[in-house]
Amino acid sequence: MRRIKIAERPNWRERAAELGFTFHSPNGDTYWDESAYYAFTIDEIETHIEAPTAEIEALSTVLVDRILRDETYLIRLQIPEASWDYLRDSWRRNLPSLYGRLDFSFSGHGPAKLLEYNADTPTSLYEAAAFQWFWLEDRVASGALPASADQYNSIHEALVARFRELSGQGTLHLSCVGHSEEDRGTISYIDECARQGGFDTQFIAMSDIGLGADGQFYDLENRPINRLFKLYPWEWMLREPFGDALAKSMVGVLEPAWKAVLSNKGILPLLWELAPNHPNLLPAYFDDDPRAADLSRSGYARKPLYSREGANIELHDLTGSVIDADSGPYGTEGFIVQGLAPLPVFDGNHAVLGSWIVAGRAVGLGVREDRSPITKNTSRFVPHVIIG
Amino acid sequence: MLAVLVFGTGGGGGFLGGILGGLLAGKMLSSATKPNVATANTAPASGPRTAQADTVTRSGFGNTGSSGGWSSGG
Repeated sequence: MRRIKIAERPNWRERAAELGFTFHSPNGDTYWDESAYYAFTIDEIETHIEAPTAEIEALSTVLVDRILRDETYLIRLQIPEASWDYLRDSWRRNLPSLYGRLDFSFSGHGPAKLLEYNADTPTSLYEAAAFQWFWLEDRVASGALPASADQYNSIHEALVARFRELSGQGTLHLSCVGHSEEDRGTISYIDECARQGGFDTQFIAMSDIGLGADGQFYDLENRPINRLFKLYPWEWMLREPFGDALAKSMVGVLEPAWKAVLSNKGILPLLWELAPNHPNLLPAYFDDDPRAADLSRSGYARKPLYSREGANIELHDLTGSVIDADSGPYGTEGFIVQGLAPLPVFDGNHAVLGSWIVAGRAVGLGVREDRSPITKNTSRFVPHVIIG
Repeated sequence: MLAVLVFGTGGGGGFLGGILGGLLAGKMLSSATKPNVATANTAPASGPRTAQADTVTRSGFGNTGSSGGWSSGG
């Protein structure tokens, strides 16, 4: 794994505009960053990223079943009791998943270590699935990269294939909060994939979703919402006014409700309990577990059960001093602590690997980097290649 | 066994779950044409109109993200 500087394509902003990639420079800051790329060997990809991703996905599936069968775990994860049967029903009926992303710390040496599983609302999707592929094609065409350069990336094909498996009669409604340009951009990409997979689609903002007197959900034209892709966290939906209506409605949701379990950072100690000393897992415990103190000897990360984009995460070194911390609105539900696996630093940039899963299969990679040790919503996306 | 996937009204059906999917995971590099997302769908949804406007209430979702200004993605 190497970070290699390279000249930007002179026309990449025009390319982004042509392709509808609108959130590459939010507030004038760099998000899409092609001033460098990461180069991996095929062994690094297959042995250290793809294989562990498949294995952890399999472990996660076992864990969901265990958690949903034992209310002790559901209480531990602070999942609202009113939603337990709804989550269990979604699992019992095997309601399908679309996607997820495992974030790893990996330097090219030793096993990749799982930092967290973004199982419900993973983003950086279009960048990983499409725009970095266009970048590769352009770079190869210009001679800046050899013709043999490749990329670990079948994300788009897998998404379309998954939608094709799921498609049928009727419309897929797509929803997110209306004001987020990044979320709208990601939804536009999902929209494209769904239509390529055979769905008719319709966007509706989360706040515009209507609940009828009959207990069914409706769009702004008062047409029934039977299938919904939502880029909106389950833990929010379940606690909002319409949350209790989900179980009685007929709406099928992507991601399915059982993903509310996997999107909780409480799965990190439960995965460690399920597979202790697994080479791709870090020791992790709930904050109030006496064993959590053991991690202070080697440094640890403290993470809220619910958190996104690095919010409310603290990194502590072996003296207990804070290495880095990010503010945010999370933490009232409790915390976990996890053994520290610092991100590798290349040219002063801390790089995290996002390993994509579609329909339960490992399908591609996105790399993000930041000047600080915690990956945040402002962390830059850097393309990658496979060479050698 | 490859099961039929059903998603939406009525639910049910099977799911090629994570374990089997993981076992089947294989290297598959991308070569297909990637999409242009500049044309987000704005066409009206198809299907029957079945709810009377005065029986539908709204704003029951989306308040957490809107009021907090928090990112919905991760």
